[in-house]
Amino acid sequence: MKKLSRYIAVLCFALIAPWQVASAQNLSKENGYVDFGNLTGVYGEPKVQINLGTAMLGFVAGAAEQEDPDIAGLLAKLKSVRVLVYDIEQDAEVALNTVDQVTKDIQKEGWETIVSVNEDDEKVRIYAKMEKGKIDGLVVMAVDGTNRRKSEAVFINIIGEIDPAQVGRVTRSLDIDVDISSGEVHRD
Amino acid sequence: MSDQKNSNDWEQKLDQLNKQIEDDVFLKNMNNEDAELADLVKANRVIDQLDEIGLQKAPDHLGNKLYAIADGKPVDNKSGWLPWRAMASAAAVLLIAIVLSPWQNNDPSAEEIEQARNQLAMTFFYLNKAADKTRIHTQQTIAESVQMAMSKSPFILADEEAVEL
Repeated sequence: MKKLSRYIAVLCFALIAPWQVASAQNLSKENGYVDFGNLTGVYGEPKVQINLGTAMLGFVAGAAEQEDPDIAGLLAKLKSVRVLVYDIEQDAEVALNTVDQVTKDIQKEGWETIVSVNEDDEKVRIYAKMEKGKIDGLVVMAVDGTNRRKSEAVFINIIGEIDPAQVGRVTRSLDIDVDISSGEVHRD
Repeated sequence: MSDQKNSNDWEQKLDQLNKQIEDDVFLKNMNNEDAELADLVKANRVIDQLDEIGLQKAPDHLGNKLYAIADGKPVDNKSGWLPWRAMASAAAVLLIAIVLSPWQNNDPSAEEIEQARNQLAMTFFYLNKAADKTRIHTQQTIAESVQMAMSKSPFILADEEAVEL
């Protein structure tokens, strides 16, 4: 009987574990995936951490279907949205170095520069991964160390088909008013 | 019953010994001065006390198992294992499997979808913010370049030369 329960436990684990691990691994194998490393050790927990997968984005797109079918169509093409925002009041150097390191890594993987701003204490980089003439992934890294009190490092990775020209339209469609100090989103 | 009584006797003696050692002022002082020596004295006291307690009779079921091992017979483990425990374990495992099952209906609630929508909104807010920064910087750079080019235009150079003359 004891053996039987052990067999059942092993069987359940064998059935569930690969699915759980696979869902996490599948994302990292996507063409538009970028690893930003871990800055938690330096800056503490991120001020904003967003991790939306294909399924949830599908539900959001479904919910937007009636209001704006075009926007719903745009959202439905996204596979994953990841955002990390750190407060970097003490020292922007590590975040600036991370931007440089990630830039090196993704340029080797064929990411194309859309725009790059380089100042002493400020760096903004936007990269896109192209696949058959369409953007299949987007990376935004922005480190602003100019104002010590409000310094932050933003890392965004969007996997899926996205048109940068539509970003403003999506933002307007979502009717938002973001309070950065509290991290709250208010609907208009 | 006699097993129970015996075990109580030696357990009580051990408890007393522990208490004596803990309360011993001499040992406490010694522990502060020389911890290794204090440990040695404690060990000696424990050995003396164990000698006093002497050999104890093992409980019958343990004795039977030990004798069975010595005789090379298969040990009967089932006596302590109740079938309902196995059934309960199996049921618990199955329940966990069902809860964690990827095939069950995992549709998010309206609140979860709303939260995801807000998160998406925040993502696009940060995207716009980054795009604005790059746009402003690009405009500034172009404006500076145009100004520089204008300042070195032939007309201005001609004016400067005229002033020098």
